[in-house]
Amino acid sequence: MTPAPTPLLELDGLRVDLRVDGALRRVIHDVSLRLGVGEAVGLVGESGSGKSITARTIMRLLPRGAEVAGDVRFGGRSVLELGARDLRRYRATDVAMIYQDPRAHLNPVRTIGDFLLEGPVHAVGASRADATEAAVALLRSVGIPDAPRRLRQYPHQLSGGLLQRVVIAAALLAEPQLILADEPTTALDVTTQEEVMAILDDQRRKRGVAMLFITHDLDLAAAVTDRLAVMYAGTVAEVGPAADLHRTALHPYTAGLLAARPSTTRVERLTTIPGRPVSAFEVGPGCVFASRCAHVEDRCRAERPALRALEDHMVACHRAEELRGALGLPAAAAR
Amino acid sequence: MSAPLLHAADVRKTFVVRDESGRRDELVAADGVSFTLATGGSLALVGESGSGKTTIARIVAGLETPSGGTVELLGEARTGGRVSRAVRKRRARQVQMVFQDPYGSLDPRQTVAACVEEVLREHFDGDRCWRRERVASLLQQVGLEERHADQRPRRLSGGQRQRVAIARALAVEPRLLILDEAVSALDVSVQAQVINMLVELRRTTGVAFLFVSHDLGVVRQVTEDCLVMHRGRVVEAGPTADVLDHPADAYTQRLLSAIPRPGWQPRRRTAEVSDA
Ligand SMILES: Nc1ncnc2c1ncn2[C@@H]1O[C@H](COP(=O)(O)OP(=O)(O)OP(=O)(O)O)[C@@H](O)[C@H]1O
Ligand SMILES: Nc1ncnc2c1ncn2[C@@H]1O[C@H](COP(=O)(O)OP(=O)(O)OP(=O)(O)O)[C@@H](O)[C@H]1O
Ligand SMILES: [Mg+2]
Ligand SMILES: [Mg+2]
Repeated sequence: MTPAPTPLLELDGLRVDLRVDGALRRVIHDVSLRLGVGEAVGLVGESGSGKSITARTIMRLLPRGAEVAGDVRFGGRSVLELGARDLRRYRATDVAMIYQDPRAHLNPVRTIGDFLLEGPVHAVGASRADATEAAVALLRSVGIPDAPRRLRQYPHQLSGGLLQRVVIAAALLAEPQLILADEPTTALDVTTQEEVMAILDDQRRKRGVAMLFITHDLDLAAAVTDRLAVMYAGTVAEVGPAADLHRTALHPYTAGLLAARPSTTRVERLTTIPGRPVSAFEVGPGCVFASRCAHVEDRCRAERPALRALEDHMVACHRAEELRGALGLPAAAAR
Repeated sequence: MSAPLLHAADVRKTFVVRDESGRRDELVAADGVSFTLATGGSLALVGESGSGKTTIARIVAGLETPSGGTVELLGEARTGGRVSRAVRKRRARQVQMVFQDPYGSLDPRQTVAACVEEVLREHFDGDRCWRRERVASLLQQVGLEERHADQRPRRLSGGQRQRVAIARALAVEPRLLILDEAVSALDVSVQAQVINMLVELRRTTGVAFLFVSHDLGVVRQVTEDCLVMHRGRVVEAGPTADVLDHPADAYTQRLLSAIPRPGWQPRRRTAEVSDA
């Protein structure tokens, strides 16, 4: 066996506490995840499960007073230990971030051109002419033909879909090795979402850039990633192949999420997960999903299951073997 | 076929807006919109952002006056603008509206029970004991537990708050409940619970729904008929099952093909962008 190559990104037993009213509050219990060079992984979960905090930990952009245990390694180096200068370079050239709401992250009084050229000209030291040429070419490849005009416009003059394309172009312009996309299309209409996702997917593959894609939408994530990691209450519940997770899910939470999606082709009483999603700080010592799980046993309430390998998945469930085939997944049925 | 509850004919709504250089301009938010909703029926308004769904819903609710066309509820024309308190009260008994944001629509100082009871006190003569029982049964109807009655909205989850808003709307026993993206902000596991509750509610009470949503999966579960809107106009209308299974209009087809599902891949449909 050849030794596995060093992964591009490793999250290793990550634990995060944030300061709320002076006290520490656990928001991430245990997140371990690896991304290979050029690999795309989806981070899927309901509101408050810790997806954005995970992304912010990778960028080292947590609120003041946060405490982090475990490690984040990029290309084998600990991100948590980078000095100021290395950290700046890491953020400017290694990793690029795309947010849900581009308007909130763009300065409204600066032009699209200022925004796009800032990185290349200031951080990397390219000439303005070269950087402009590169930016125009890139805007064209993300579906913005009249790029020179767009460079002179302000954010409010562009629609949400167009602005998100600009942000994707800016992310690619830095030639990063990793893109962190945090719900980049949640604010867009479904047809615009499809366009933007097609562009992001296509450009990312062409350039061999890895991506951590954060979303609520399991089907959307599955379409543009190799593997999916499902998060619940600050914990990774399951990691599995994106293409067939909807049939092969091993964790009761993954199966529950899949069954709760309303179908566009059938009318049925939806299968629900009782209760509401809980936050990391609300869970007891056992499995984070125990309070809502239909398959819970005493052991599940007492002992937290570790994420472990099973078939080609990773799953954090004591009963995963027993429950295989009993989670009510639509084996071959189309949705 | 039951008698129509709601009938809209050729409804048009324009807004006066100012363009970039400050000139007055007319924005057509809805145009030529016609539909009928039967008593106890469930009609979806679907379409993308800005297509005019909320505009139509607000006109039906009486919160907005149409610039043209007519809306009739129970055979009576709905005119917007100023109306007497008595008329307003009578209308409130007929139509209630629930919005997307369950946070904004509840008074943070009121307990759940007080918030529902307030509506009962305004519209019915029953005594305190009657109101108490009625509050309990309304909360049960929307799937809330007894212990929620004394809580304030801040302590409730998004799904629970939305249930309170629905219970409050149901308190007047309206003939029509307008739900504008009422489940859109909810997490999928909670959204499924609220969808099941809504389906059950209509079955047991016979209240009709005008259901505004951009989510076609949700629409399939909750409605019988649907109107697809695009840029203020109805591009397709019919039974929800037919429209979703056999979309005839190119825009409806495009909308359906963009929904992620197992095996779906995003594709670029246009070489260039036409917006903004
Ligand atoms: N600045 C903060 N201070 C304190 N707690 C926070 C802060 N930001 C987030 N949290 C809490 O951390 C937990 C995880 O939040 P996070 O934003 O990562 O969720 P998420 O999975 O991204 O959810 P969403 O899908 O809603 O974006 C939540 O319980 C949230 O309330
Ligand atoms: N009070 C108003 N003044 C000016 N323009 C308005 C007003 N209300 C709505 N509009 C415009 O009318 C059009 C239709 O808006 P409407 O809110 O009905 O759309 P919608 O289909 O509900 O969209 P969404 O899915 O985003 O809620 C939009 O272009 C909107 O900007
Ligand atoms: Mg988030
Ligand atoms: Mg609307």
